[in-house]
Amino acid sequence: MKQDRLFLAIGGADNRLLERSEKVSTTNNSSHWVRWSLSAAACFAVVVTLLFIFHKDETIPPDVSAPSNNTPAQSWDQFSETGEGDFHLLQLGYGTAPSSAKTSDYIIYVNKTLYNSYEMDGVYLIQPNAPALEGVPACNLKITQTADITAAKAAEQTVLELRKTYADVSEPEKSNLVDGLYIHGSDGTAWNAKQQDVYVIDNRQGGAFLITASYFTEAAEGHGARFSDMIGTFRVITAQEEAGAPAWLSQLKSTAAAVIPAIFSDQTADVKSYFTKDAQIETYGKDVSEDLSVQAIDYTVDHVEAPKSAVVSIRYRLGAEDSFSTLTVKLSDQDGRWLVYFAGVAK
Amino acid sequence: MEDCQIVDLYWRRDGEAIAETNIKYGKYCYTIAWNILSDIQDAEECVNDTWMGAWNAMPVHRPDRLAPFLGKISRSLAFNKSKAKSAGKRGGGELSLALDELEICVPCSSSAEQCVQDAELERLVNQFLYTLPKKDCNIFLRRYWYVEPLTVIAKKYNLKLNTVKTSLYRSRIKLKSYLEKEGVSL
Repeated sequence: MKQDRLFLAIGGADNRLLERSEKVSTTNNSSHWVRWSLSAAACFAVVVTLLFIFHKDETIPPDVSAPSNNTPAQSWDQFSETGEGDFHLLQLGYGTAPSSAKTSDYIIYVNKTLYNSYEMDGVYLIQPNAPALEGVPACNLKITQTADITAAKAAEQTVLELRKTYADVSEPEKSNLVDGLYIHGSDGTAWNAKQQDVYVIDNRQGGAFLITASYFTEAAEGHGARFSDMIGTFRVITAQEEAGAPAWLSQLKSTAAAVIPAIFSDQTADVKSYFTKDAQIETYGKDVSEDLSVQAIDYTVDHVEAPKSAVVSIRYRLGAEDSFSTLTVKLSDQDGRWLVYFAGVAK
Repeated sequence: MEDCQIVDLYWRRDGEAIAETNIKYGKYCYTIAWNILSDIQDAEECVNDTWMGAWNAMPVHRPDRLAPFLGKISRSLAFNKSKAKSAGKRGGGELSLALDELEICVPCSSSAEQCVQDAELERLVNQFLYTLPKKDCNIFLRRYWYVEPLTVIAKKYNLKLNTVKTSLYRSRIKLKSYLEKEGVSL
């Protein structure tokens, strides 16, 4: 019978959906996002994305200003409570940022069970793993940073921009999710009506972050709520807080900072001390660093508290006409030192 | 015992694997089988068959999570057992009710040639599940994957019975529309 075949087809549901359905609700719907926020660390396959802007001749992120008085310091301890999942640290714009840019770093949890994320042309995009339905507004979360526009000004501009697209646009109001302003744009209450939440957050360097959640009415309780969960974890990272990062993180960054330029300049002999004895290192066979434009460096470790292995993925291209490639560097912790045992390029 | 340790036991062909699986997932698999079969003896047989299925599947498989892996075996075995038992007659129980409810989701087919491959149907259903809001998706799976009674689902998620019914109704209509749009006919 046809419903038998459908029943069997439902049997092939993704494991993660089945596991999600096992989780029991204990609170009412009115505290939906609050519940998610409180349980985020336990429920999410956690990804932490930390964004830095690098200068071409420097491998150390530019200093960031002191935190504003009304923003609590971010504790690194909270990331040790993240449970299972990968821990990512992303560095953006290596070698591409203008030296005058005053941009800040940030951290956000990304629910990697349901979403994927990547950086492209200064926009960090988080989008659903499942393909979008035809004829339905796209659902995604975008993070951008404006270095030379204050948060207040950015909020004003956002309202004007939203009015061009949405029938109803709210005035900026203090957000209860993040330390910033919240603006909502809506195309009505039809099931497929476009909705947009924009959060404007001071980047503490005179600029602002814009976090834009796009979805449609019917998806408000699904993607909309999950976007809120992720937005609630957004934090601007200060120099103070970065100083409190775990030792392995700075060691890993330090190793990567030494090895990556050497690979692109074909000067690996200079950094042999960072390689294991039988390391497999692939280079271009020539110095390509002049043409190099690194868009993102993504660090993944196997454990937040005491990682033993790490993968550093460098997304780059050689010149504006080139397509993006990925240099993958694999490292293992050996007696407290990160050593590279593999490095190779994949288009 | 952790799942990975139990899986290792299977891979080492250690008989303790089944004992440990039974301790950790016996109740889980029994509930799935019971929901479909509504018979103690059949459900117990189904659980034992599940362990045998797991024993035969590992190796080659090395599942990260045992619960859904074992649950799928139990569900499939229970469904087959139920169909074999009824031998064409529709009996009572939750499976019968669940199948009746699902009937409206399947677009009418004018021709046998329009049948799609089961794998494609499975892919589409899975894709559809991701389009549902989380709450509706959970309810849908509890009903049509786990074959749980409506009252159990309502209690589990702290919802009113009518809310569960409405959610299922809306999801079924959406699924029907989705499958029609994808050109599925069975």
